[in-house]
Amino acid sequence: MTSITSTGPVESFDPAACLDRLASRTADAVRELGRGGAVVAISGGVDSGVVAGICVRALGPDHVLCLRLPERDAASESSDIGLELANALGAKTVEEPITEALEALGCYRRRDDAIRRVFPDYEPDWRHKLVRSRPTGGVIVFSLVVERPDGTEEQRRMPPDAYRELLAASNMKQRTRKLLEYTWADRLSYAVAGTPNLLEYDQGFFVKGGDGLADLKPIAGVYKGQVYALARRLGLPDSVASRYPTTDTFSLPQTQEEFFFGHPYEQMDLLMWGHQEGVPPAELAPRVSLEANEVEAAYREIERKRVATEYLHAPAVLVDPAD
Amino acid sequence: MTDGNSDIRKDMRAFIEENFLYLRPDVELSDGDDFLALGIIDSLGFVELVEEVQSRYAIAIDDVEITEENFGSIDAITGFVEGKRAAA
Repeated sequence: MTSITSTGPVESFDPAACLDRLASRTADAVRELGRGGAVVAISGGVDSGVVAGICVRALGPDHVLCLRLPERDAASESSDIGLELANALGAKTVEEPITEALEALGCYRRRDDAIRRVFPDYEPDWRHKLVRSRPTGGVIVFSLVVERPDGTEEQRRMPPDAYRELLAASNMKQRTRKLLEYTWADRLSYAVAGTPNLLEYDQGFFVKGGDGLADLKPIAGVYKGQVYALARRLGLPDSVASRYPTTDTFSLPQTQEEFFFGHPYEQMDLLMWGHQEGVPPAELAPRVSLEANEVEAAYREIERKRVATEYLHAPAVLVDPAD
Repeated sequence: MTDGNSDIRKDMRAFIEENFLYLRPDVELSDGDDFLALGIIDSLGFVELVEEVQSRYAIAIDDVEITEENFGSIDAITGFVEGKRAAA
């Protein structure tokens, strides 16, 4: 944890007022969309937990469906935590395991093929994850980590074609989950509530047509530390309100910073906030326990990620729109 | 400028034009232009460049060498490859 004590996105945050505002606007959004409630895919993490809590506050528990969508590589306790959350909120909940669908679509086969480009002797029972290089503000290099049956880990750089193949395969998980969210939304005439927080939305940490697809995104303007404050304010179960963010996508435990952000969320919140507020790197540095040049690098990476992920945010281009 | 130097420039320019500029006829790339600043090559593109340099010139490249200083422009790549060859 960093030694941040003065102003920042969490210190000046009023969770009660924010909850009132988000609940009111969520109710307005669902009404304007002409839907009768909201579907929220709950992963057991704090973001989806808070979105479910906001939807329940906005629409009432009878108008919120919490979908639990477990999958082979996700943490085994995630669905149970989701059930605990839905029960605590009094919302409806359904479990739809997606492993068989992913098997039939070839998700795991495609993933294994990609991994064998880097580790030819890889077997499907080896656990694995993707990790990024240390943030420099410049080039990010991705490596694959595998855990061999004897418990030893090995890390090798991923060639771009293998990286894309692996990512395309793992993105099938988020897209399959979204298919089921819209299936239930159609069935109940509900809207789909997405769960990206400010860091994820701003930096493009989502799958286009997967977790990036939704009818409303209640916490896309909320910093991660603020999301935790909302979770406490909502009285969410401790298993959700204090759960550390993971990707829950690869079979080895993987934090969001080692895959994408490069810094823990507490630092990332402040770096993003400092960048937004124009705080000079030398001034922010001691508050995030980094050197000024590391803050400069983080600012550069924030800007470059925005440019690099513009495609993920872009709506379909109407090539020849009607006048 | 040595023949080797000009070959590296020619090879890298051809690779970059074919792989990163085929839909960017508006970009006129000079040997000193910064790929990242111009937005024509992202991080994954850098690793593609690295793979190309590794296989074309039979050079082993460590992760820590994948930087803008070494791969950020045609000039940078040329200098990097020449340095590697001289050290071999």
